[in-house]
Amino acid sequence: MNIQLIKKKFFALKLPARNFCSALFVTFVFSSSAFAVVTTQDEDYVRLLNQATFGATPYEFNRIKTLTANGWLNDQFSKPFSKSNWKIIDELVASLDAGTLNLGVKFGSRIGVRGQLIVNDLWERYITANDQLRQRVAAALLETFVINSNITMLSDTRRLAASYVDILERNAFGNFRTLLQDVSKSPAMGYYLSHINNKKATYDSAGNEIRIPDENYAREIMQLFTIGLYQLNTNGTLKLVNGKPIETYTQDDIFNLARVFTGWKMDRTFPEPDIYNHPMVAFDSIHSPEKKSFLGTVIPAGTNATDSLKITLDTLFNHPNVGPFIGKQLIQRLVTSNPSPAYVESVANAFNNNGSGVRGDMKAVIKAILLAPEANPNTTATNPLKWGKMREPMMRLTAIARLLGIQFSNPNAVYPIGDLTPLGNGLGQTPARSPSVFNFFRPGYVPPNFAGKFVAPEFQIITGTSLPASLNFMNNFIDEADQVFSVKNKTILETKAQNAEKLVSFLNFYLTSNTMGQKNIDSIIAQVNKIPPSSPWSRAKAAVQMVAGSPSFLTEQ
Amino acid sequence: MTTNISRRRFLTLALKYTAMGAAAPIALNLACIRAASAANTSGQYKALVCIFLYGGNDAHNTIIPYDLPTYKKYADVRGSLAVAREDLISTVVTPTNGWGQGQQFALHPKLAPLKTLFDDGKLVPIMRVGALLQPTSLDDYKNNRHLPPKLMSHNDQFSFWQSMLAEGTSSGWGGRLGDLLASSNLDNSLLTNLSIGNSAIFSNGKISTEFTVDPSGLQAIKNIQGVEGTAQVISDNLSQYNQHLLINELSKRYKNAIIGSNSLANSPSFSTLTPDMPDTELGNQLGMVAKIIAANQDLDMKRQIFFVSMTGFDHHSEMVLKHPPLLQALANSMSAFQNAIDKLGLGSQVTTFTASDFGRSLVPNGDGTDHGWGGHHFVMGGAVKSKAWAGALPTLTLKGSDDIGSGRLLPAISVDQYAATLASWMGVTDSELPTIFPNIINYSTKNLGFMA
Repeated sequence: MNIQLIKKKFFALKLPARNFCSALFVTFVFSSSAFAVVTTQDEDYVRLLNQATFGATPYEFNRIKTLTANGWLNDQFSKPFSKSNWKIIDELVASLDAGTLNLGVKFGSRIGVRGQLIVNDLWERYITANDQLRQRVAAALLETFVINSNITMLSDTRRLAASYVDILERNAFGNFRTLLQDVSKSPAMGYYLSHINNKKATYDSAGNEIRIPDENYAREIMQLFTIGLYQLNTNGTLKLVNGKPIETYTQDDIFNLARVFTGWKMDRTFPEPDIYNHPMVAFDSIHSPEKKSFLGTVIPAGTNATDSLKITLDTLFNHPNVGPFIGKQLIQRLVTSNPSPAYVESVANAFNNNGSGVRGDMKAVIKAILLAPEANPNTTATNPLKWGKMREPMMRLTAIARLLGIQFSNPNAVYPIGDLTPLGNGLGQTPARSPSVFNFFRPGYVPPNFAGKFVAPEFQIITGTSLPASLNFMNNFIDEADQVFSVKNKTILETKAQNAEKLVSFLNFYLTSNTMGQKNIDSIIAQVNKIPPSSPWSRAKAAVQMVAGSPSFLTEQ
Repeated sequence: MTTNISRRRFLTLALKYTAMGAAAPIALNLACIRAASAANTSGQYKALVCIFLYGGNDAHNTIIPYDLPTYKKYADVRGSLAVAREDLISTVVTPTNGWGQGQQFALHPKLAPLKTLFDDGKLVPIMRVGALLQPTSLDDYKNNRHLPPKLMSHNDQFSFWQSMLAEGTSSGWGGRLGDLLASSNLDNSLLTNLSIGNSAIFSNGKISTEFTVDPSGLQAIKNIQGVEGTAQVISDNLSQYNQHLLINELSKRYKNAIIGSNSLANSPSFSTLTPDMPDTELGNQLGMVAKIIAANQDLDMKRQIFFVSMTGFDHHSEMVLKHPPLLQALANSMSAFQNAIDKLGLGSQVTTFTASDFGRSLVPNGDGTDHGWGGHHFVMGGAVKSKAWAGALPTLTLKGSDDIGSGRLLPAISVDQYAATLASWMGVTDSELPTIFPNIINYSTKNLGFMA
């Protein structure tokens, strides 16, 4: 048996880090591949938590140990919804208007009033919500069905954004067809990709166009939200004809599809501000009466807006590309940047049929992603040296914040974390603040001079010079956490801090799923021991700060 | 130590080293390898600055017809999106040899600072430039012959403008230009291709890698809680060799960043210059460019290529409201930047040019416009030909010879020709142009002649 052992932790079965976890069940892989990783059941659980939530905590770890992985997922599926973003923003706006709300933030910058409230709200949600899996999936959907919180120049952009995030949460465990419809009819998306108030074409007497419908949403719903640019096999690989990929749509398809997305306006049967929280409604007087022919579907001339939309969304939803196109991106958001074709296929299959003949069942897709053998580097048939993903910068903060157990309650202030995009005082990323509909990073981003055909999307916003800036920010955040928040896990951490090995072991487990190398661990222990045990919080913070800067935390592998 | 190694061997060595991953030297020690590039980098320092306007800048409202007959054609189609003719009086630009065919053009009123630069002989308009694979007629377009991939798709088109390929490519033309010039930068070749703010494929070459600098400046990891040695530990842990693909990449990026950052931080000129720039997205980025350019002598640099950008040009809606402020910010920042460079005595040694995903439709969709193809751009600097323009005039006639539909412009000149002219100014010889621009061989005119 020839096992090439690549991770140091395998050699060091006597690692202090591993003593922390009582190894109930040790996974040995004698695979035919040249590589193997050995992990314990505990490590598998904490890794799943880091994939399915915004950061593993002792509380959730105990839950998943009790329920097992599948049971924990089922429990997450049935979690009650968190208070709606709509309600939260509504209350914040009321306080703002009453002059009782302080918009200042302690970390990052204030954004203009228009965009800010949803950002504060999302930070709080990601860090503290009980329905973590729903929030994590909704966040992944927000990076696919992208909007930026600054949707319009209107002050009510914050309400639009809140309504939109609610749509993603409502549909995170629902059906993709419903998600597609709710997104397409949301005023938020209507404004963001400009199909709200879109009018049919008008012509002069000679038949020349005077005005054409806006094509923005027609293009992006295909390119980004459903089928992508090229025909795919179920396993996500490109279909090739004579060695060349096959485009899914042409400019002519876009031109026709733009006609479908005409005639939709705000539902003025509702008063303000409620109209922002209701789907757009159809006005056939400005809806295109022309034939709409795209992707092999023909919508006859004279078909009304509602029927045209239904036929369109059905066509897109049923396109064989959707399973692999969306499925692969969800894998990339949650687990690994380079899933094998077999992994993508298993997820696409779950999308195509949840086992009970239903297409588009998000729960089936989520389980297929998180419970797949390949969600775990130790059972993967592919090379563990290529498995995993870069941790998104904003998820560094949520993971640390969750492990610290930060809590904030001040009815007269917004959640004190704001815009962290500027690197002068931030991380280079902020929820709901993607610079464009193409998200913070592209699914196909290949770092220059990267070996082989591997992608690493998040590296698009993690440059060498961004590292010191973002690490300094995180250090500052950790330093000041207990002055701005109450830190629920402070006592636990201070107790652990009496023994530097135990402290670092604890952090290694929760923050990196036990993947730090011994050299890193020892170097951190040595620094922690420079701080006297009479300052346990300083010791605890120092350890967190140094683990937060370690490659094992910055990557998820 | 200098060893004459042929450029081909140098490139082979470089690729071999990078293929080895972390075992390779962090930065190729180009001081020891003086590649026999044919590029002419003797004489003065030169820098090229790309200002990328993300979203597809509306060219039809950037350079606007002023003579009555042409203006009327423009306004009839543009309707409520048209700029009023009386607002264009003070931004009419008159080239020395005129525009031809009795026509006149003006800049959008918010671009007034660019008009001043034009009159000072420091600005050249480039008309109807766009993504092409080879010279392309309207008939070619209608019959789908040899068209660039994914026309009118944002991410593919801005990728094409930056690299001559659709999204997913591994090198941009700025980086490939840097590949030929990096060896002239001796010890600081890591600072050949710089992106200020967001990363872009433009700045990555086959060897030269993008060095990103945030407009807020460079930071070093600080000691935590004042404990000496903690910053070093974090830094050391980030710098370790690791076989994992992602950790290795992280380490490589970090180590290169330290080298480049230290060089800049140690330059007195970089540290002391505080250029007078508007406090805007672009102003802050160009301010950082000016600081780095100021360091060229301290760092013994010969050739640098910068990338900066503005976002928000995708005006499908609210164009009349949203486009002018962006143009104003663009012009103010460009003008302030040229001033700052002039003050450094480098006014003729820095050439700045604009670029964008595409132009837009002439026909409105209501209160905005849709994705187009060809567009108009500007080249700025003391080295441009005074009061000239390049490219071809738009007919502004629906169903005319340059209209692919709804007044979207067929390009008359390609990004390759535009960029090759700039690369030639940077010292690249004609025979080397195809290594940067493979399709340049399809054009008989490789140099549009807008540099003096």
